[in-house]
Amino acid sequence: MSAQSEEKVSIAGDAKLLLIAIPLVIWTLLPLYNMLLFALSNKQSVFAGHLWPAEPTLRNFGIVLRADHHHLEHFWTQFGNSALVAAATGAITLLIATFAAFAISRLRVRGGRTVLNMALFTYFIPAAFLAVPMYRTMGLYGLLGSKWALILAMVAIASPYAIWVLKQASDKLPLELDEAAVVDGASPVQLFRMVYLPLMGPSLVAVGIYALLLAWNEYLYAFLLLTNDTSFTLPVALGNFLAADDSPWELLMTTGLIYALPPAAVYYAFRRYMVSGLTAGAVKS
Amino acid sequence: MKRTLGLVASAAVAGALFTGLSTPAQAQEKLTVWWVKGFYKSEDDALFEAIRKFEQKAGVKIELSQYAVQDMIPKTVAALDSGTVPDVAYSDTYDFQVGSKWAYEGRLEDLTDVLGPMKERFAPNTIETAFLYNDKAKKRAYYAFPIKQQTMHIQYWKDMLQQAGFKEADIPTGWSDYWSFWCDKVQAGVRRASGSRAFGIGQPLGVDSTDSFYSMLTFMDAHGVKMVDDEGKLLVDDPANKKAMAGALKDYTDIYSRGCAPPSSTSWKDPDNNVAFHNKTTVLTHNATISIAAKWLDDSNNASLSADDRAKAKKNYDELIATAGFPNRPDGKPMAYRAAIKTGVVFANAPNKARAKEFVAFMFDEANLRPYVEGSLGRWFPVTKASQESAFWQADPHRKAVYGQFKAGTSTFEFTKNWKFTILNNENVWAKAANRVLNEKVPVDKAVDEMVARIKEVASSMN
Repeated sequence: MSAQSEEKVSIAGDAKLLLIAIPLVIWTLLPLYNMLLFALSNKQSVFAGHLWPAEPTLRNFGIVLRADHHHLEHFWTQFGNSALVAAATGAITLLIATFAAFAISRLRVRGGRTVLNMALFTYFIPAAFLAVPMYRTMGLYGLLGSKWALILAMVAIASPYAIWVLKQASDKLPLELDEAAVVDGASPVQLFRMVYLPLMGPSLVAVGIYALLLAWNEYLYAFLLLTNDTSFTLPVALGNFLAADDSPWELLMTTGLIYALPPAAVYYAFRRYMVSGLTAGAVKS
Repeated sequence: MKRTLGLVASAAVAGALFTGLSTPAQAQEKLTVWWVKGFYKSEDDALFEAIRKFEQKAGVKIELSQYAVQDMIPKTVAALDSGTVPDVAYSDTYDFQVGSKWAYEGRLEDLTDVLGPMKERFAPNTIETAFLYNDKAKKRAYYAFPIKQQTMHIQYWKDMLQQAGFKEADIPTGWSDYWSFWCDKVQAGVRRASGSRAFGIGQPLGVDSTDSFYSMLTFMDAHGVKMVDDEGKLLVDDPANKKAMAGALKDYTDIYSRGCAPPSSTSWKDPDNNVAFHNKTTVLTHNATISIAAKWLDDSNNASLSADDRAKAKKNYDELIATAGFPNRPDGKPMAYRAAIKTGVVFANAPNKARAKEFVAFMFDEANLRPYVEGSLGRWFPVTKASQESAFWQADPHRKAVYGQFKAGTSTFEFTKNWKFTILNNENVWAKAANRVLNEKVPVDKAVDEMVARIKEVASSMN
C-alpha cells in the first residue's frame, strides 16, 4: 500500500471518529450551553427560544454574587458550607482510605481483604436506600442538623471506593521497596511516611478530588441531614427556586453555573492525576 | 506523683465535660417547626414575625427549618420513619399527598381542642377538609389545621384577544361555546394577525404535573361527576357518573386533538403552562393559583430589574392579563370550584405537643395568619371569613376575580373523604387516561373504563 493510500485510510478513520465525536460533544455540551444561555438572558427573555440572547447581560451574575434575591439571601454562607463539607469529606476520606489501603495492601493485616470486600458490598445497595437509616443513625447520635452528619455520611459513601482504588494502586508498587526499607530498619510508620506516601501521590490526589466532588454535588443526604438555610449546602438551597411554577430560571441557572466553576477548576488543575490516579492498578503491568 | 495528679485532673475534666454534655438542666424550652419555604420574601417575613411574637409571648425557642415544597414530604417521611418528628409541620403539598393517609394511620395529633372553639371563624368547606378519619382511634376529628386554599382560575392575554379581533365582551359563557371560541376563533385570529403559531388554550396534560389533574378534575366537576359520597364510598360505577366522566374526558382531550393546545402539552410539568403563557405561545391557560399574574406583580416591584422591565411587568399585571373563572357548566348552571385546602399537622409522637397546639392556635390569630397568606401576592386565598373580607382582595381585578370565585362556593377534593385518592392523584390516573386517548388512540369510553377500574382497585377499600 502506498503512503498516499495509507494517508487516505487514516483520514477516513479520523473522519469516522469525528462523525461520532461531534454529535457526542454537542449532546454533552447542550445542557451547559442552555445554562449559559439562561444565565446571560434577562428575566423577560429567558424562554424566548433564541439561540443566543438578543441582549446578553451579566446582571444575573451580579444579583447572585450580591445575594440580591430572596432565595439567595444566604448564598455565600451556603457556598461556604458546600466548600467546608467537600473539603472535610475529601480530607477524612483520604485519611481513612490511605491508612486502610496501606494496612491491607502493604502490611497485609489479617482480615484486610474481608474488610475491603464488606465495604465494597455496601455499593450493592443504592445510596438513596440508605438515606433513611442514615437519617435515623444521625438522629440517634444527636447529629441531625449538624454539618458533621453530612460529612460523616459522605465519608461513609466515598470511603469503600477510595480504599479500593488506593489498594489497587498500592498493589502495583514493588514489594522490594518495603523489604529494602525494612532491612534498613524502617518501622511501619516510617515505611508509610517515607516510602508509601511519596509513591502514591497521583492516586491520593485523584481519590481526594473524587470524594471532594462527590460531597460538593450531593443533594439527597444534604437536604435530609441539614435543617436550615444557614446550614444548607448550595444544591439544597437551589431547590427553593423550584418551589413554585414561576421560578426565576435565569437566577437558578446562573447560580448553578457559578457552583459548577470550582469543581471544574479543581478538575482541570489536577486532571493529569485524575486519569492516572483512578486507573492506577486497574491493569497488571 | 505527677502521673497521679495528671490522672485525677483528666478524670475531673472528663467528668465536668460529661456532666456539661449530658445535663442541659436549665436549657430553654424548644419547639421544632418545619414550614415550607415561601416563594416570596413577604411570606417568610410574616412567618418570622409570627414566630418572634410567639417566642416572646410563650418564652419558648422555636427552631424553624424551612424546606422547598418538593423536599417537604421526603424530609417528613424520613423523620416519621426514623421517629424524630418535628412538633409542627406545614407544607403546601400535605393535603394532596399525605395528610389524610397519616390521619388514617393514626400518626397525627387530634387538634379538635384547638380548632373546635374557633370553628365558626372558618369559611364553608375549609375546616371540614381537616376533619379526617383515624382508623387507629376509629373516629373522625380535626387531625390537621387549614391555613390557606387554592382553586382553578383562567388567565388570558387581553391584547392577544384584541389582536385576534375580539373584545372581552365577546367571550361566551356557555361551556361548549367558550372552548370553541378560544379554540377556533381566537386561535385562528391570532395566527392570522401575528403570523405566529400561537395556540388558543394552554391545556396541562402532563402525567408529572398537578395542574393536569386539577384541571381535569375541574372538567369533571363541570360535568357533575361525583366519585365518592361523604363517607368516602365509591360512586364510580353509577352509569350517570361514568357518562359524565366520559363527557369530561372527551371535552378535555378534544381541545388537544383539535390542535388548539401546544403539541408538547402532553408532557408538560407544572411550570410549563406558565412558561407557554408568558411567552405568548398560548392565549389562555388554566392554573390552580394566580401565580401567572402574581409573577408580573412581583417583577413590577423587583428592584433588580431594569426600569423598562418593571414598567412592562406592571403593564402586564394591570392591563394585559385577565384573571377569570370558568364558563357555566354544560348543563347551564354556574361553575362551582373545588378548592384545595392547605393543611399543616402536629404529629402524634411529637415531643412537645402542648406547645405545638399553642403555636397552631397562635398562628390562627388574624394578626398572624393574614399577613402570611397575603404575603403570597394573591396566590393563596384565606380560609377564615374575616381574612377573606380584607381590603387586599378588592385591591385589583385579579384578586377581585379570585374573591368572586371563592365566594361563589367551593367543593372539596375526594381525598378528604377517602384518603386513597391521594394515591390516585399521585399516580395521576386522570392525565394517564387523557394520554391514553391522545397518544395511544384509545377510545374515550375505554379509557374511562380503565380509569374507573384503577380507581376501584385502589380506593374501593380504605384499608
